Order: sequence, then C-alpha cells, then structure tokens
Amino acid sequence: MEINLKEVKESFVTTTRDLLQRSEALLLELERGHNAEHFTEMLRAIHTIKGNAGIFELEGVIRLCHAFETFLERFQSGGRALSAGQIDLGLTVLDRLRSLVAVMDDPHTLAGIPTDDLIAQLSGKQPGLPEAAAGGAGEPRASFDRLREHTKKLRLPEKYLEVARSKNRYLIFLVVDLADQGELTLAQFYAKLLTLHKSGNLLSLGVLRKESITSNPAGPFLPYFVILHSEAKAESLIQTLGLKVLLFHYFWQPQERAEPSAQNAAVAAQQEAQRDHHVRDTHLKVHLDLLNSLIDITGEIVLTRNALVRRVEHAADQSLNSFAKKLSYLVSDLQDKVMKTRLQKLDVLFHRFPRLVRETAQLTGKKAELHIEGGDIEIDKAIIDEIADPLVHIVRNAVDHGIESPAERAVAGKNETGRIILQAQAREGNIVIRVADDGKGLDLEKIRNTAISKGLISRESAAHATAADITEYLFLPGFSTKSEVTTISGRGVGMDVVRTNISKLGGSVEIAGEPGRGSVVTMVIPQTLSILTCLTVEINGFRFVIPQQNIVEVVQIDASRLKNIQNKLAYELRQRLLPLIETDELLEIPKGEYALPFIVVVRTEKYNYGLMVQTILDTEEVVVKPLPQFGQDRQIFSGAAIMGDGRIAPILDAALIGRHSNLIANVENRQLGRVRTQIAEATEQHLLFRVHGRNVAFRVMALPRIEAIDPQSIETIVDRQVVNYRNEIIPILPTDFLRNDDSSRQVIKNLIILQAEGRRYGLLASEILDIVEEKLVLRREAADRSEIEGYAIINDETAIVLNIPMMMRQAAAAATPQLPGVMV
Amino acid sequence: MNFFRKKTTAFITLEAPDFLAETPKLWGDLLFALEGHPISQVTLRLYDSGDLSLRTLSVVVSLGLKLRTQNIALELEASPRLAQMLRRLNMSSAFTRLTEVA
Repeated sequence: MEINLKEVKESFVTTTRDLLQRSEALLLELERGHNAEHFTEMLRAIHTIKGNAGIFELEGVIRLCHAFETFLERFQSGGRALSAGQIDLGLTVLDRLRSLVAVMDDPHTLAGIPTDDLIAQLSGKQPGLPEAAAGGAGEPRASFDRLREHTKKLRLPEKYLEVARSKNRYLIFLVVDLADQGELTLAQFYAKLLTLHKSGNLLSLGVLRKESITSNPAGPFLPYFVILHSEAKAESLIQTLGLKVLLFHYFWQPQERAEPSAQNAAVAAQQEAQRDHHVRDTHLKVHLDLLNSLIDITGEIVLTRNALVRRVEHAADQSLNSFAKKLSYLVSDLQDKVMKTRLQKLDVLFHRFPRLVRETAQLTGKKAELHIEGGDIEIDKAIIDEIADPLVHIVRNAVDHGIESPAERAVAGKNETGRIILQAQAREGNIVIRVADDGKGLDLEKIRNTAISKGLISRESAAHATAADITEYLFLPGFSTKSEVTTISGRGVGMDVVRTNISKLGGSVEIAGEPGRGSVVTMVIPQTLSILTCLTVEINGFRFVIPQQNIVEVVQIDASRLKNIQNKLAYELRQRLLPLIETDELLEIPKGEYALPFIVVVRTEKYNYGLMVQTILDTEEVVVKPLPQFGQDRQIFSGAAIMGDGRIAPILDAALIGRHSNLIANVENRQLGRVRTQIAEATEQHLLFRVHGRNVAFRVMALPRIEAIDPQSIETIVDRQVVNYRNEIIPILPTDFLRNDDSSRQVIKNLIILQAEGRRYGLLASEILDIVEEKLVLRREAADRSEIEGYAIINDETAIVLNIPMMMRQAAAAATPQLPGVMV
Repeated sequence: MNFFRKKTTAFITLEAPDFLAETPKLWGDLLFALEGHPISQVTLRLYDSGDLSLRTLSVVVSLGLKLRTQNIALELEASPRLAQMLRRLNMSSAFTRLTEVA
C-alpha cells in the first residue's frame, strides 16, 4: 500500500499541536501543585512527539523533547511543584517545539531555529535553574513507572512477531535490574541466558540505556531487557530463570492460550492498554474541508427534502406521503448528526486561557487565577474560530483592567490573587459564555465622563443615562481606543470590535459590574451557523427570512395604535412604544398595491423594534449560504437562505437593520423613552364593570380573562367565597364592602380572572360595561378602605376604582395560614 | 580502589575486595575519583576478575553510560572472559573501548 506522506505529515502536525496544547495545560496545572498523573501524561505526550518526529527526522524536535523528558523526570517523583521559572522554561520549550513543527517543510528555516540553548537550560548547564539540576531521591521508582509505560509501547521488530506467531508461542519482553540481583555473578547470569540462546528462544537482549539512571546518589539503576519467545508463560519462565524480574509484557500471545483472567499486574496493564488502543481506533481524523462539504451536501438534501415534502403534501397517493414523511424524519436525523461532526468542545479554545491569564498577570504585576467551567460544551468549529479573538480580548481585559494589584486588593480586604471565571453554559440552542472577575468592577462615573470627553455622547444624554445605559458606552466605537482609557476603570478596550464580531455570528454581548465587586461580560452565541430556523415573510412577492432567535412575536396591526413621533413610525404595543421599520422602504421594494398588515417584533442585544411585512408565510429550517458581494453592500443581510422550493431569500440581520435604520439603541434613545413613558402614563386602561349595584373599575395592564359564570358554582367555605373554575378552586376577592341596599337584585353573571405571582383570583361582576382608555382623575378620601384606590368619573358616571393589587395581597395573606388546608 | 590522573585522563583500578563493596559505596567512590578538574577520558581496569557480581557490573556499565552523556570516554580493561561475556550480553557499547587484558 502506498503511503500518502502528505497525509501522514498533516496528521503529525495535528497530533503534535493537540499534544502540545495538552502539555501546556498540564504544565500550568503543575504550577499549582505536584500531580504524578499530570507528570506521567505530559511525559507520555512529549515522548509521543519525540517518537513521531523520528519519522520525519526532525532532529531538533527529537533532541529538545528528549531533554525536556529528562528535565521533567527529575521532578516527577519529587513531590513538589515546579517553580515559576521552571514553568516558564517548559512553556518556552513547548513554544519552540510548535515553531519547529510549523516549519518542518522548510529545512532552511528549520535549521535556523535553535534548540541548544533550551537543551542546555533543561539539563541545568545554564545558570538560572538550580532546582532543575538536582536529581530527586526517588528517581528509580519514577523511572520504573516510566519504564513500564515506555516498554509497553515499544515496537518490536516484525520478525520477532512472525517467529512467535509461526511457532504459536508467547512473545515476552522482560526487564531485570542488574543492580538488584543479589549476589548473582555475571558468569551465572551469562549461563542462564546462554541456555535460553541454545534452546533457540532468545531473540534479543541488552541494556535499556535510555531508561538507566546514573544520577542517583544511592547507586545506579540499570534495566536490562531480554526478548524471547516461549511456550511457557512468563511467570513460569521467570521462575525457571531464577532472575528477579522488574516487569514483563506479552507482545504476542497465542490465541488459544490467551487467558483474559491473567492475574499478573503487568499483563492486566497491557490488556488495559490494548483496550485503550481499541477506543482510540473508534475515532478518525477527518479533514475539515471534507466535513464542510458534507455539511453543504446535507444542506442541499434538507432543501430537496423540504421541496419534496411540500409537493407530496397534497398528493392523492397516501403511501407516497408516508414515504416522504419517513424520508423527512431520516433527513432531519442525518442533518442533526452531520451538524454534530463540526462541533468541537470549547476546551479547544479554553485551554489557551490559563497561559494567557498567567502571562498577562506577570506583565501587569498582578496575581490572577482562572477557573474554567463548561469546557465540555460543544460548539460549531466556525463559531469557535470567530469567538476566539473576542474572548482573548475579554479575558485579557479582565486581568489587565479588572483585577487590582495585590496591594490594592489587600487594602480592599480581598485575596491577593484575583479570581477570573470563564464559564460556558448551553441554553436553548445558544451558548452563554461568561467571563467574570472579582476585580475593581465598573466605575460608571468615569465611563460617563470619558464618553462625554471623547464626544461619543452628549452631556445631556449622559446626564439621563441609567447604569445599564452607561455600560453600553463601552461598546461605542472609539470609546477605548486610546491608551488613556486605562486611567479610568479600564473597561471597554476594543469592546465595540468584540460586539461587532459577536453580532456577525447572530450573538450578543453585554457587560455588567459593580464598583469594587468585579464585572461580568456575557456573550450569547448560537451553537451552529449552518442551518437556522427562520420565519419567512413576503412583501410584494419578495421573500425574506428572519432568524427565529430574534423574533419575539408577530402582531397584526391595529391602525389606531400606529403613532408618528418626530417623523418616526412607532406602534403602541401593550402600553409601550415599539419603533417600526417599513420593511418595503428599507429593502427598496418597488411600490405597489399592497399593505403591510403585520409586525414582526424582533429583539437583539441592542434593539427592540418591529418590521412591518405584508405576509407571514412559514417557519422553516434554512441552509445559510454566504451572500454574494453585491448583497453585502446593503449591510442588512447576514446571508442568503435557500428555501424549500429552491428559491433564495436573503436573511435579515436584526442587529444590522437596527443600525442601518438609525434606530437609536436604548442607551441613546432618551427622547423616545420619555415619549414612551408619557404615552404609557396617558393611556391607562380600566375595566369598568357593575357589581352590587355600583359602577366599579380597576386598572389593567393586560386584559384579564372574563368568563360567564353560573352563580351556583360559587361556594362559601368557612368565611370566604371560592369558585370552581376549570377544576381549580379560585378564591373570590371580597367586594361586600361595595354592597348597597338594592344589590340583592343584581345577579352575578361574570367572573373576571386575575393573576398575580402565579396565583389566580376571581372578581365577580354582574355586568361588564366597558374598557376605557383615558387618564383618570382620581379622588380619594383618607378614610377610604385600602381596597379602594379612589373615585373617578368614567363615562359620565362615578365609579369606584379598586386597588386590585392590594386586594390580592390581602387575600393571599388571609389565605396563607388556612385556605390551603381547607381547599384540600 | 586506586586512581590517579594524568592531564585530563583518569586511571582507576578495581580489584578484590573492591568488588564486594556495596553498590552505593562503590558508585560513590568512583564518582569521587572523577571529581575535580575536568577530564576527557577514564581508563578503568578490572584486575583479577574472571567474574564479578552483577551489581558491581551494573556500577561499571552505568559509569560508562553516565560518562558518555558528558562526552567523557571510558575505556574498560578486563579479562578476556569477562570482556567476552560483556560483548555477548550487548554491554560493551557502554564503553568507548573494551580492552582485554591478561
């Protein structure tokens, strides 16, 4: 079989990169404290790199790895943490190895990268690392562990295996320590091995030079190996030989003789290693291009499925319909699985942050430690690539500007070492990534003043800004591009770029913090980019799609609620003004005989507005394709979607539209905000009804449910009334205090259902009169009951306005000790 | 154990009862003999040794390996029998040269 060297090389580069990344993480872990497992894992990683580098004759890599291994071994059994200097040296070695592997195709450049300097430092021949030069007392033990691991992985010559296979014998690799054979002489030892040789069982022998330890003051450790094939198992062979054996491995066992229940620990370890080997075999390395094309093809299949299902939906042939449904299910499953192939664990990204934090802290003279949570969450590789830089920026900011110096922290009564938490959580198809620090937090006044001084906002706007608004200044372009920014709280360096990059992914980013108590940057990003669930809308025959994640609701327009404020269209939605965008104008659609009766209410991190559209079509999974250059000029589309019927529809980007339409974000929109408040105040809604012979009203935020009721269903339990409403016992808010003399003639016909804090209450009415929308002038006397908010003239008659929240609170308070027991 | 230096070469001889010494002591004595001014070569002669214990041998072989890493040559002089066994057991490569002496 022909070996594709290019593929082997790519595999080597990828594997080495992963191993170096892992080694880096382990090295940083070792700084915190000694951990034998970490040492072992790192040694294994470096050893693997060294072995693989041998294939390509990368002498520099091999030598450096070897020196690094030796260096690490000195500490492996010492039971002490590596010093900062040693960690630095280790990190430098890893970087140098990265550089060497990166230029392995260019011999000239490769030769120009030195390794001798690091090898000298690792061996302790260069000053500055006294700890590295000394060997530990426990070296033989550590060496034994390493020996066991290394000899397990040895690749014996194929001819040895052939001999063992052909003769159906055990192929045994055993190691003895020559220094630990009691009074056995060389001649006796020689005689034993000569016997093996004469019987034709001996294949090879010699000193395991790389595994020998000569720096141990207590004496050398000299492992000697013997490779032989035997009909007998190793245990009996060892007994025959009369040698004290350090360890042995089977490199081949006759099938019919293999006994899985072998008790020997070394055999068990080997079998375990073999099992591990099988696990590794279940994974394949696949080129990213291949995965991408697989995802593209799956996208096409999804589109074809959508088209097919649409056509077959109304077909007379039911069996065809059934097949289409089955196909649809399978394609959904396929899509789901294929999308997962490009998912990567966030650890791939997160692993670089411990070092970033360490180095930034060193540079700034601070102490900081990073805690990572949720690194096992998987996310599309394309998104990982996009969020990497913003996240680096945020984490570096957290150390550089968030965490205080040790002295400042001590004064503030905090631990000298600042704490940064990098946390990822999966939520409803999105990934939430938080970077929190316990540093100095946000100094809102300084941010406000800086924004004013840089001319980013007017003094008037800043004066009215809330805390949330002020933190938004950090995302304004130009807010923090100058070095003076570090003289304020320091937050926000380049945060506008961070937000722009995250927005491009359809995500959002926000920042919050309290002075002295740290700050939190929260990023919300979609888990995948390739296939989106979108709402399809149409205007004058043109179709567009809006990502479902941005849609809050769809509203049918009530013309009376359309407002025009400062030549800007707005819609009064539940007593709040929603800025409106006439989508046809935005998209420059040719004018025609059509109306825009629907509003799609969209929300992004920064904007909340409505898009007026002509027709709402359907919700559909669409495949996202990049937009051609001419479409990008519009700067309101995030891509193009191929629809089920094969048509192409641009994907409207809610954030870009908000920006393009000069929709003022909440921060800067003070004027609109004031108008909004005024309107909300001016358009109180009151429900006017009649009970106990009186006109009664109460203020409603949302229209309550009103049900016709049979008076017989009202029951009195103990001292209060309840009603059985759809198998739920609902307490009736008492209104007896409204009763007048002729109220007995009033028949209760309606039940008004009210809800607060998850509990329902009923209010009885004999007649529902009206919903009034006007600002009421309330009159109230001091002696009035607390259930009465006041009296007002409504529809030319005096009405009692009830204070429903108060009545609910009273009912809840009265019910708490007794009602539940009674109702049960 | 006897040892002396001549310029950058150290000469060490081992003979009974040196071979009976405990491994750490023998190892320590050998290292002590090599301390001081830098050397580039060591000649180690095993006197009257038709045979020797494996632990003594391990010290000698280990010394060869250790000096090799420091670019110091170790020439071992041993009886023909001993030299033959060392060669057959693939141990001779621990030394720069293995010389048979009567």
